[in-house]
Amino acid sequence: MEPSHQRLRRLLEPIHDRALGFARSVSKSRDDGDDLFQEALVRALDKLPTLREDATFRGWLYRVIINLHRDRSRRAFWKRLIPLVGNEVGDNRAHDETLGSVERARIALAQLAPDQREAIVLHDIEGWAVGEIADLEGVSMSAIKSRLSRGRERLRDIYTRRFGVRETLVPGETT
Amino acid sequence: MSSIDKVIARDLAALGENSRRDVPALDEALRTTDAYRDDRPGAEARRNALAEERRRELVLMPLTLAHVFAHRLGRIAAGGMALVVSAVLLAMLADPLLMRLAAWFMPGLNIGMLVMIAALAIVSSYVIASWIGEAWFARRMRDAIKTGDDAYQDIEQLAQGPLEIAHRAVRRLDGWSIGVFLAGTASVTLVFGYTIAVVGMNHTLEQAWSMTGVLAMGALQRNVGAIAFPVFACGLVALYVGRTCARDRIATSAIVRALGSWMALVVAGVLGIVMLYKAFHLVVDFRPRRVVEGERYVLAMMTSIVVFVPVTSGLLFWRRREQARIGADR
Repeated sequence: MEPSHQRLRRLLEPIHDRALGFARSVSKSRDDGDDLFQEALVRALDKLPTLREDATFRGWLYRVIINLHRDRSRRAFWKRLIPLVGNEVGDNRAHDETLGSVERARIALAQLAPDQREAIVLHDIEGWAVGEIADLEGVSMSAIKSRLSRGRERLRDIYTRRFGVRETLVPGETT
Repeated sequence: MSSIDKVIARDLAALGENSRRDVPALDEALRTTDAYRDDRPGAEARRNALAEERRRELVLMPLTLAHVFAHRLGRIAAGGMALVVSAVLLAMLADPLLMRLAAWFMPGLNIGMLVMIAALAIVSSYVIASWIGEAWFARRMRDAIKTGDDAYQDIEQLAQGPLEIAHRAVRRLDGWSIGVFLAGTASVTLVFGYTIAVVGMNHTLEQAWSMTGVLAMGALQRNVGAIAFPVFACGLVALYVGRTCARDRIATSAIVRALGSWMALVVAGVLGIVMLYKAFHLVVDFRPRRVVEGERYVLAMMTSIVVFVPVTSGLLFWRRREQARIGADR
Protein backbone atom coordinates (compact mmCIF):
# COMPACT_ATOMS: atom_id res chain seq x y z
CA MET A 1 0.00 0.00 0.00
CA GLU A 2 1.27 3.47 -0.92
CA PRO A 3 2.47 5.44 2.13
CA SER A 4 0.42 8.53 2.96
CA HIS A 5 3.16 11.05 2.34
CA GLN A 6 3.91 9.63 -1.11
CA ARG A 7 0.26 9.61 -1.99
CA LEU A 8 -0.12 13.17 -0.79
CA ARG A 9 2.87 14.26 -2.83
CA ARG A 10 1.49 12.62 -5.97
CA LEU A 11 -1.96 14.10 -5.55
CA LEU A 12 -0.74 17.52 -4.51
CA GLU A 13 1.76 18.05 -7.31
CA PRO A 14 -0.68 19.27 -9.99
CA ILE A 15 -2.59 21.64 -7.71
CA HIS A 16 0.05 22.73 -5.24
CA ASP A 17 0.63 26.24 -6.63
CA ARG A 18 -3.03 27.08 -6.98
CA ALA A 19 -3.97 25.68 -3.57
CA LEU A 20 -1.20 27.67 -1.92
CA GLY A 21 -2.31 30.73 -3.89
CA PHE A 22 -5.86 30.23 -2.66
CA ALA A 23 -4.67 29.91 0.95
CA ARG A 24 -2.66 33.10 0.60
CA SER A 25 -5.49 35.05 -1.07
CA VAL A 26 -8.06 34.06 1.49
CA SER A 27 -5.77 34.96 4.43
CA LYS A 28 -4.91 38.33 5.84
CA SER A 29 -1.30 38.12 4.71
CA ARG A 30 1.01 35.92 2.69
CA ASP A 31 2.60 34.62 5.87
CA ASP A 32 -0.79 33.74 7.33
CA GLY A 33 -1.62 32.02 4.05
CA ASP A 34 1.62 30.00 4.16
CA ASP A 35 0.84 28.98 7.75
CA LEU A 36 -2.70 28.04 6.79
CA PHE A 37 -1.49 25.94 3.87
CA GLN A 38 1.17 24.24 5.98
CA GLU A 39 -1.39 23.42 8.66
CA ALA A 40 -3.73 22.14 5.96
CA LEU A 41 -1.00 19.83 4.66
CA VAL A 42 -0.37 18.45 8.12
CA ARG A 43 -4.08 17.80 8.55
CA ALA A 44 -4.33 16.37 5.03
CA LEU A 45 -1.46 14.01 5.72
CA ASP A 46 -3.22 12.89 8.87
CA LYS A 47 -6.63 12.43 7.27
CA LEU A 48 -5.52 11.14 3.86
CA PRO A 49 -6.41 7.51 4.62
CA THR A 50 -10.05 8.63 4.84
CA LEU A 51 -9.98 9.89 1.21
CA ARG A 52 -11.34 7.10 -0.95
CA GLU A 53 -11.27 8.58 -4.44
CA ASP A 54 -8.08 10.25 -5.64
CA ALA A 55 -10.14 12.16 -8.20
CA THR A 56 -11.85 14.14 -5.47
CA PHE A 57 -8.58 15.25 -3.90
CA ARG A 58 -8.72 18.85 -5.09
CA GLY A 59 -12.13 19.52 -3.56
CA TRP A 60 -11.13 17.60 -0.44
CA LEU A 61 -7.94 19.62 0.07
CA TYR A 62 -9.74 22.91 -0.54
CA ARG A 63 -12.34 21.87 2.00
CA VAL A 64 -9.56 21.21 4.51
CA ILE A 65 -8.15 24.67 3.81
CA ILE A 66 -11.59 26.27 4.10
CA ASN A 67 -12.35 24.51 7.39
CA LEU A 68 -9.04 25.59 8.86
CA HIS A 69 -9.59 29.10 7.57
CA ARG A 70 -12.95 29.25 9.34
CA ASP A 71 -11.41 27.92 12.55
CA ARG A 72 -8.86 30.67 12.38
CA SER A 73 -11.51 33.27 11.67
CA ARG A 74 -13.41 32.15 14.77
CA ARG A 75 -10.22 32.36 16.82
CA ALA A 76 -9.59 35.80 15.40
CA PHE A 77 -13.07 36.82 16.57
CA TRP A 78 -12.19 35.84 20.14
CA LYS A 79 -8.87 37.63 19.84
CA ARG A 80 -10.64 40.82 18.85
CA LEU A 81 -13.19 40.36 21.61
CA ILE A 82 -10.56 39.77 24.30
CA PRO A 83 -7.33 41.41 23.23
CA LEU A 84 -4.71 39.81 25.47
CA VAL A 85 -1.52 40.79 23.71
CA GLY A 86 -2.57 43.97 21.93
CA ASN A 87 -4.06 44.47 18.49
CA GLU A 88 -2.28 42.66 15.77
CA VAL A 89 -3.94 44.19 12.74
CA GLY A 90 -2.96 47.74 11.92
CA ASP A 91 -6.35 49.01 10.86
CA ASN A 92 -5.08 52.53 10.47
CA ARG A 93 -3.60 51.50 7.17
CA ALA A 94 -7.08 50.97 5.85
CA HIS A 95 -7.65 54.73 5.74
CA ASP A 96 -4.66 55.26 3.52
CA GLU A 97 -5.82 56.09 0.01
CA THR A 98 -2.42 55.44 -1.49
CA LEU A 99 -2.29 51.72 -0.76
CA GLY A 100 -1.20 49.29 -3.47
CA SER A 101 -3.76 47.08 -5.19
CA VAL A 102 -2.72 43.91 -3.42
CA GLU A 103 -2.79 45.38 0.05
CA ARG A 104 -6.08 47.13 -0.63
CA ALA A 105 -7.68 43.91 -1.84
CA ARG A 106 -6.38 42.03 1.21
CA ILE A 107 -7.72 44.61 3.65
CA ALA A 108 -11.09 44.72 1.91
CA LEU A 109 -11.40 40.92 1.77
CA ALA A 110 -10.49 40.67 5.44
CA GLN A 111 -13.60 42.73 6.24
CA LEU A 112 -15.92 40.15 4.64
CA ALA A 113 -17.51 37.19 6.35
CA PRO A 114 -15.40 34.03 5.80
CA ASP A 115 -17.96 32.37 3.50
CA GLN A 116 -18.24 35.49 1.31
CA ARG A 117 -14.47 35.86 1.22
CA GLU A 118 -14.02 32.24 0.14
CA ALA A 119 -16.66 32.53 -2.56
CA ILE A 120 -15.12 35.69 -4.01
CA VAL A 121 -11.58 34.32 -3.94
CA LEU A 122 -12.62 31.05 -5.52
CA HIS A 123 -14.81 32.66 -8.18
CA ASP A 124 -13.13 35.95 -8.99
CA ILE A 125 -9.49 35.04 -8.38
CA GLU A 126 -9.24 31.27 -8.82
CA GLY A 127 -11.80 31.22 -11.62
CA TRP A 128 -14.01 28.45 -10.26
CA ALA A 129 -17.55 28.12 -11.57
CA VAL A 130 -20.45 28.75 -9.21
CA GLY A 131 -21.46 25.08 -9.45
CA GLU A 132 -17.99 23.91 -8.45
CA ILE A 133 -17.97 26.19 -5.43
CA ALA A 134 -21.43 24.98 -4.47
CA ASP A 135 -20.22 21.37 -4.65
CA LEU A 136 -17.15 22.22 -2.60
CA GLU A 137 -19.08 24.01 0.12
CA GLY A 138 -21.97 21.58 0.03
CA VAL A 139 -24.58 24.29 -0.50
CA SER A 140 -26.90 25.28 -3.35
CA MET A 141 -25.81 27.39 -6.29
CA SER A 142 -28.18 30.14 -5.27
CA ALA A 143 -26.50 30.30 -1.88
CA ILE A 144 -23.13 30.83 -3.56
CA LYS A 145 -24.61 33.46 -5.87
CA SER A 146 -26.04 35.21 -2.86
CA ARG A 147 -22.65 35.13 -1.08
CA LEU A 148 -20.94 36.51 -4.15
CA SER A 149 -23.50 39.25 -4.53
CA ARG A 150 -23.39 40.29 -0.88
CA GLY A 151 -19.61 40.06 -0.81
CA ARG A 152 -19.25 42.27 -3.86
CA GLU A 153 -21.72 44.77 -2.45
CA ARG A 154 -19.68 44.94 0.73
CA LEU A 155 -16.44 45.31 -1.23
CA ARG A 156 -17.93 48.24 -3.14
CA ASP A 157 -18.92 49.83 0.13
CA ILE A 158 -15.44 49.34 1.61
CA TYR A 159 -13.73 50.70 -1.47
CA THR A 160 -15.95 53.77 -1.43
CA ARG A 161 -15.91 54.55 2.27
CA ARG A 162 -12.45 53.44 3.36
CA PHE A 163 -10.31 53.81 0.30
CA GLY A 164 -12.09 56.84 -1.16
CA VAL A 165 -12.61 55.22 -4.57
CA ARG A 166 -15.27 57.23 -6.38
CA GLU A 167 -17.57 56.24 -9.17
CA THR A 168 -16.39 57.86 -12.42
CA LEU A 169 -17.94 57.85 -15.84
CA VAL A 170 -16.13 55.59 -18.22
CA PRO A 171 -16.37 56.73 -21.85
CA GLY A 172 -19.08 54.80 -23.64
CA GLU A 173 -20.84 53.73 -20.42
CA THR A 174 -23.53 55.22 -18.23
CA THR A 175 -23.76 54.84 -14.49
CA MET B 1 -19.47 47.17 -14.88
CA SER B 2 -18.97 50.31 -12.84
CA SER B 3 -15.59 51.91 -12.34
CA ILE B 4 -15.50 50.70 -8.70
CA ASP B 5 -16.13 47.15 -9.86
CA LYS B 6 -13.28 47.49 -12.32
CA VAL B 7 -10.95 48.72 -9.58
CA ILE B 8 -12.01 45.80 -7.38
CA ALA B 9 -11.56 43.29 -10.21
CA ARG B 10 -8.11 44.71 -10.94
CA ASP B 11 -7.11 44.57 -7.27
CA LEU B 12 -8.38 41.00 -6.90
CA ALA B 13 -6.46 39.95 -10.01
CA ALA B 14 -3.33 41.58 -8.58
CA LEU B 15 -3.90 39.77 -5.31
CA GLY B 16 -4.27 36.43 -7.11
CA GLU B 17 -1.10 37.03 -9.08
CA ASN B 18 0.76 38.08 -5.94
CA SER B 19 -0.43 34.97 -4.08
CA ARG B 20 0.89 32.66 -6.77
CA ARG B 21 4.28 34.38 -6.82
CA ASP B 22 7.31 32.89 -4.98
CA VAL B 23 5.60 29.57 -4.44
CA PRO B 24 8.05 27.20 -2.75
CA ALA B 25 8.80 23.87 -4.35
CA LEU B 26 6.51 21.04 -3.45
CA ASP B 27 9.34 19.08 -1.84
CA GLU B 28 10.10 22.00 0.38
CA ALA B 29 6.48 22.21 1.46
CA LEU B 30 6.27 18.52 2.21
CA ARG B 31 9.92 18.03 3.21
CA THR B 32 9.75 14.78 1.23
CA THR B 33 8.61 12.59 4.07
CA ASP B 34 7.31 14.81 6.80
CA ALA B 35 5.58 18.14 6.71
CA TYR B 36 7.72 19.12 9.69
CA ARG B 37 11.07 17.43 9.54
CA ASP B 38 12.35 19.85 12.17
CA ASP B 39 9.38 19.71 14.51
CA ARG B 40 10.42 22.61 16.70
CA PRO B 41 8.58 25.27 14.67
CA GLY B 42 5.50 23.05 14.77
CA ALA B 43 5.85 22.55 18.50
CA GLU B 44 6.28 26.27 19.02
CA ALA B 45 3.25 27.01 16.89
CA ARG B 46 1.22 24.46 18.85
CA ARG B 47 2.51 25.88 22.12
CA ASN B 48 1.59 29.42 21.08
CA ALA B 49 -1.88 28.40 19.94
CA LEU B 50 -2.42 26.41 23.13
CA ALA B 51 -1.13 29.24 25.32
CA GLU B 52 -3.50 31.65 23.62
CA GLU B 53 -6.40 29.29 24.13
CA ARG B 54 -5.48 28.87 27.81
CA ARG B 55 -5.20 32.62 28.31
CA ARG B 56 -8.66 33.05 26.83
CA GLU B 57 -9.93 30.29 29.10
CA LEU B 58 -8.46 32.10 32.10
CA VAL B 59 -10.02 35.41 31.10
CA LEU B 60 -13.42 33.77 30.77
CA MET B 61 -13.08 31.69 33.95
CA PRO B 62 -15.74 32.57 36.53
CA LEU B 63 -14.42 34.36 39.62
CA THR B 64 -16.66 32.13 41.71
CA LEU B 65 -14.05 29.39 41.51
CA ALA B 66 -11.46 31.59 43.22
CA HIS B 67 -13.97 32.65 45.87
CA VAL B 68 -15.09 29.10 46.60
CA PHE B 69 -11.48 27.94 46.78
CA ALA B 70 -10.55 30.74 49.20
CA HIS B 71 -13.60 30.13 51.40
CA ARG B 72 -12.99 26.40 51.51
CA LEU B 73 -9.40 26.97 52.54
CA GLY B 74 -10.65 29.46 55.14
CA ARG B 75 -13.08 26.88 56.50
CA ILE B 76 -10.33 24.28 56.77
CA ALA B 77 -8.12 26.75 58.64
CA ALA B 78 -10.95 27.85 60.92
CA GLY B 79 -11.94 24.23 61.60
CA GLY B 80 -8.34 23.28 62.25
CA MET B 81 -7.90 26.19 64.62
CA ALA B 82 -11.13 25.24 66.40
CA LEU B 83 -9.80 21.72 66.83
CA VAL B 84 -6.51 23.04 68.20
CA VAL B 85 -8.32 25.39 70.58
CA SER B 86 -10.58 22.56 71.78
CA ALA B 87 -7.62 20.22 72.24
CA VAL B 88 -5.68 22.87 74.18
CA LEU B 89 -8.68 23.62 76.39
CA LEU B 90 -9.28 19.92 76.99
CA ALA B 91 -5.63 19.47 77.90
CA MET B 92 -5.83 22.43 80.26
CA LEU B 93 -8.97 21.00 81.85
CA ALA B 94 -7.40 17.59 82.25
CA ASP B 95 -4.19 18.96 83.72
CA PRO B 96 -4.76 21.97 86.01
CA LEU B 97 -1.06 22.77 85.89
CA LEU B 98 -1.42 23.86 82.25
CA MET B 99 -4.37 26.06 83.15
CA ARG B 100 -2.39 27.62 86.00
CA LEU B 101 0.47 28.18 83.59
CA ALA B 102 -1.90 29.92 81.19
CA ALA B 103 -3.33 31.99 84.04
CA TRP B 104 0.22 32.92 85.01
CA PHE B 105 0.93 34.13 81.46
CA MET B 106 -2.36 35.96 81.28
CA PRO B 107 -3.32 37.38 84.69
CA GLY B 108 -7.04 37.44 85.31
CA LEU B 109 -7.74 34.62 82.86
CA ASN B 110 -11.38 33.56 82.94
CA ILE B 111 -13.88 31.74 80.77
CA GLY B 112 -14.99 34.90 79.00
CA MET B 113 -11.41 35.62 77.99
CA LEU B 114 -10.91 32.03 76.85
CA VAL B 115 -14.00 32.27 74.66
CA MET B 116 -12.83 35.58 73.22
CA ILE B 117 -9.33 34.30 72.51
CA ALA B 118 -10.73 31.18 70.87
CA ALA B 119 -13.18 33.19 68.74
CA LEU B 120 -10.47 35.61 67.70
CA ALA B 121 -8.09 32.79 66.76
CA ILE B 122 -10.75 31.00 64.72
CA VAL B 123 -11.99 34.10 62.88
CA SER B 124 -8.48 35.36 62.15
CA SER B 125 -7.49 31.91 60.86
CA TYR B 126 -10.43 32.03 58.49
CA VAL B 127 -9.59 35.52 57.23
CA ILE B 128 -5.85 34.92 56.85
CA ALA B 129 -6.35 31.54 55.16
CA SER B 130 -8.85 33.10 52.73
CA TRP B 131 -6.32 35.76 51.78
CA ILE B 132 -3.60 33.17 51.35
CA GLY B 133 -6.01 31.02 49.34
CA GLU B 134 -6.87 33.84 46.94
CA ALA B 135 -3.21 34.77 46.48
CA TRP B 136 -2.22 31.15 45.94
CA PHE B 137 -5.06 30.62 43.48
CA ALA B 138 -4.11 33.71 41.46
CA ARG B 139 -0.46 32.62 41.35
CA ARG B 140 -1.41 29.08 40.34
CA MET B 141 -3.57 30.40 37.52
CA ARG B 142 -0.75 32.64 36.31
CA ASP B 143 1.60 29.65 36.35
CA ALA B 144 -0.95 27.62 34.40
CA ILE B 145 -0.62 29.90 31.35
CA LYS B 146 3.06 30.74 31.69
CA THR B 147 5.37 29.68 28.88
CA GLY B 148 9.13 29.34 28.84
CA ASP B 149 11.94 28.47 26.46
CA ASP B 150 11.12 24.79 26.09
CA ALA B 151 8.12 24.42 23.78
CA TYR B 152 7.66 20.72 24.56
CA GLN B 153 7.58 21.28 28.28
CA ASP B 154 5.15 24.14 27.77
CA ILE B 155 2.85 21.95 25.69
CA GLU B 156 2.89 19.34 28.41
CA GLN B 157 2.17 21.95 31.04
CA LEU B 158 -0.51 23.68 28.97
CA ALA B 159 -2.28 20.37 28.35
CA GLN B 160 -4.21 21.15 31.52
CA GLY B 161 -6.17 24.34 31.24
CA PRO B 162 -6.60 26.78 34.13
CA LEU B 163 -10.25 25.83 34.37
CA GLU B 164 -9.41 22.18 34.90
CA ILE B 165 -6.70 23.03 37.42
CA ALA B 166 -9.04 25.37 39.28
CA HIS B 167 -11.84 22.79 39.42
CA ARG B 168 -9.42 20.16 40.67
CA ALA B 169 -8.04 22.47 43.35
CA VAL B 170 -11.54 23.37 44.52
CA ARG B 171 -12.60 19.71 44.49
CA ARG B 172 -9.52 18.68 46.46
CA LEU B 173 -10.52 20.95 49.33
CA ASP B 174 -14.14 19.84 49.31
CA GLY B 175 -13.95 16.96 51.79
CA TRP B 176 -11.51 18.70 54.12
CA SER B 177 -13.54 21.89 54.19
CA ILE B 178 -16.56 19.89 55.35
CA GLY B 179 -14.90 17.37 57.65
CA VAL B 180 -12.42 19.63 59.45
CA PHE B 181 -14.86 22.50 59.81
CA LEU B 182 -17.55 20.19 61.11
CA ALA B 183 -15.22 18.53 63.60
CA GLY B 184 -13.83 21.89 64.69
CA THR B 185 -17.21 23.56 65.12
CA ALA B 186 -18.66 20.61 67.01
CA SER B 187 -15.65 20.18 69.30
CA VAL B 188 -15.24 23.86 70.12
CA THR B 189 -18.95 24.23 70.87
CA LEU B 190 -19.02 21.12 73.02
CA VAL B 191 -15.85 21.88 74.96
CA PHE B 192 -16.74 25.48 75.68
CA GLY B 193 -20.37 24.57 76.31
CA TYR B 194 -19.23 21.92 78.74
CA THR B 195 -16.87 24.29 80.52
CA ILE B 196 -19.49 26.99 80.83
CA ALA B 197 -22.14 24.50 81.99
CA VAL B 198 -19.95 22.85 84.61
CA VAL B 199 -18.66 26.17 85.89
CA GLY B 200 -22.23 27.47 85.93
CA MET B 201 -23.45 24.44 87.85
CA ASN B 202 -20.71 24.41 90.46
CA HIS B 203 -19.80 28.01 91.06
CA THR B 204 -21.33 31.32 91.84
CA LEU B 205 -20.92 34.13 89.33
CA GLU B 206 -18.09 35.70 91.35
CA GLN B 207 -16.17 32.43 91.44
CA ALA B 208 -16.75 31.77 87.75
CA TRP B 209 -14.71 34.84 86.84
CA SER B 210 -11.62 33.38 88.49
CA MET B 211 -9.99 30.44 86.76
CA THR B 212 -8.00 29.46 89.82
CA GLY B 213 -11.17 29.47 91.89
CA VAL B 214 -12.88 27.25 89.34
CA LEU B 215 -10.00 24.84 89.21
CA ALA B 216 -9.78 24.64 92.98
CA MET B 217 -13.06 22.74 93.04
CA GLY B 218 -11.88 20.22 90.44
CA ALA B 219 -15.31 19.66 88.84
CA LEU B 220 -13.97 20.30 85.36
CA GLN B 221 -11.12 17.79 85.72
CA ARG B 222 -13.32 15.08 87.17
CA ASN B 223 -15.85 15.29 84.33
CA VAL B 224 -13.45 15.74 81.43
CA GLY B 225 -13.98 12.15 80.26
CA ALA B 226 -17.67 12.88 79.68
CA ILE B 227 -16.78 15.55 77.13
CA ALA B 228 -13.72 13.91 75.56
CA PHE B 229 -15.83 10.96 74.44
CA PRO B 230 -18.49 12.92 72.47
CA VAL B 231 -15.80 15.17 70.98
CA PHE B 232 -14.00 12.10 69.73
CA ALA B 233 -17.26 10.60 68.41
CA CYS B 234 -18.14 13.85 66.61
CA GLY B 235 -14.66 13.94 65.08
CA LEU B 236 -15.12 10.43 63.70
CA VAL B 237 -18.53 11.21 62.20
CA ALA B 238 -17.18 14.50 60.78
CA LEU B 239 -14.35 12.57 59.18
CA TYR B 240 -16.87 10.20 57.61
CA VAL B 241 -19.05 13.08 56.32
CA GLY B 242 -16.00 14.83 54.87
CA ARG B 243 -14.83 11.65 53.20
CA THR B 244 -18.27 11.07 51.69
CA CYS B 245 -18.31 14.63 50.30
CA ALA B 246 -14.78 14.25 48.90
CA ARG B 247 -15.86 11.13 47.05
CA ASP B 248 -19.15 12.75 46.08
CA ARG B 249 -21.15 9.87 47.51
CA ILE B 250 -23.71 11.81 49.48
CA ALA B 251 -26.55 10.36 47.46
CA THR B 252 -25.52 6.81 48.33
CA SER B 253 -24.65 7.39 51.99
CA ALA B 254 -27.67 6.83 54.24
CA ILE B 255 -25.95 8.41 57.26
CA VAL B 256 -25.04 11.65 55.50
CA ARG B 257 -28.45 11.86 53.85
CA ALA B 258 -30.07 11.37 57.26
CA LEU B 259 -27.86 14.04 58.83
CA GLY B 260 -28.77 16.51 56.10
CA SER B 261 -32.51 15.78 56.15
CA TRP B 262 -35.25 17.95 57.63
CA MET B 263 -36.27 15.15 59.97
CA ALA B 264 -32.82 15.19 61.59
CA LEU B 265 -33.17 18.93 62.09
CA VAL B 266 -36.54 18.45 63.76
CA VAL B 267 -35.15 15.72 66.05
CA ALA B 268 -32.15 17.92 66.88
CA GLY B 269 -34.51 20.83 67.60
CA VAL B 270 -36.61 18.75 70.02
CA LEU B 271 -33.49 17.40 71.69
CA GLY B 272 -32.15 20.94 71.88
CA ILE B 273 -35.24 22.13 73.75
CA VAL B 274 -34.98 19.18 76.17
CA MET B 275 -31.29 19.83 76.70
CA LEU B 276 -31.83 23.55 77.27
CA TYR B 277 -34.45 22.77 79.90
CA LYS B 278 -32.13 20.24 81.49
CA ALA B 279 -29.14 22.60 81.38
CA PHE B 280 -31.06 25.45 82.97
CA HIS B 281 -32.40 23.08 85.59
CA LEU B 282 -28.90 21.83 86.38
CA VAL B 283 -27.31 25.24 86.45
CA VAL B 284 -29.97 26.98 88.48
CA ASP B 285 -31.04 24.16 90.83
CA PHE B 286 -27.90 22.11 90.93
CA ARG B 287 -28.06 18.92 92.93
CA PRO B 288 -24.76 17.02 92.59
CA ARG B 289 -26.32 13.68 93.42
CA ARG B 290 -28.84 13.98 90.61
CA VAL B 291 -26.26 13.62 87.84
CA VAL B 292 -25.33 9.98 87.95
CA GLU B 293 -22.39 8.48 86.11
CA GLY B 294 -24.29 7.08 83.08
CA GLU B 295 -26.49 10.14 82.79
CA ARG B 296 -23.47 12.39 82.23
CA TYR B 297 -22.57 10.48 79.07
CA VAL B 298 -26.15 10.43 77.82
CA LEU B 299 -26.40 14.18 78.33
CA ALA B 300 -23.08 14.72 76.57
CA MET B 301 -24.09 12.57 73.60
CA MET B 302 -27.46 14.29 73.31
CA THR B 303 -25.71 17.65 73.35
CA SER B 304 -23.39 16.42 70.63
CA ILE B 305 -26.35 15.51 68.46
CA VAL B 306 -27.97 18.88 69.10
CA VAL B 307 -24.77 20.64 68.00
CA PHE B 308 -23.69 18.30 65.26
CA VAL B 309 -26.87 17.85 63.22
CA PRO B 310 -27.70 21.50 62.49
CA VAL B 311 -24.06 22.27 61.68
CA THR B 312 -23.90 19.29 59.29
CA SER B 313 -27.18 20.23 57.72
CA GLY B 314 -26.07 23.83 57.23
CA LEU B 315 -22.71 22.80 55.83
CA LEU B 316 -24.22 20.35 53.38
CA PHE B 317 -26.68 23.01 52.23
CA TRP B 318 -23.81 25.46 51.79
CA ARG B 319 -21.81 22.88 49.89
CA ARG B 320 -24.72 22.23 47.50
CA ARG B 321 -24.91 25.96 46.88
CA GLU B 322 -21.18 26.17 46.21
CA GLN B 323 -21.24 23.19 43.89
CA ALA B 324 -24.07 24.78 41.93
CA ARG B 325 -22.18 28.08 41.73
CA ILE B 326 -19.05 26.49 40.30
CA GLY B 327 -21.08 24.18 38.07
CA ALA B 328 -19.78 21.03 39.72
CA ASP B 329 -23.06 19.55 40.91
CA ARG B 330 -23.52 16.21 39.37
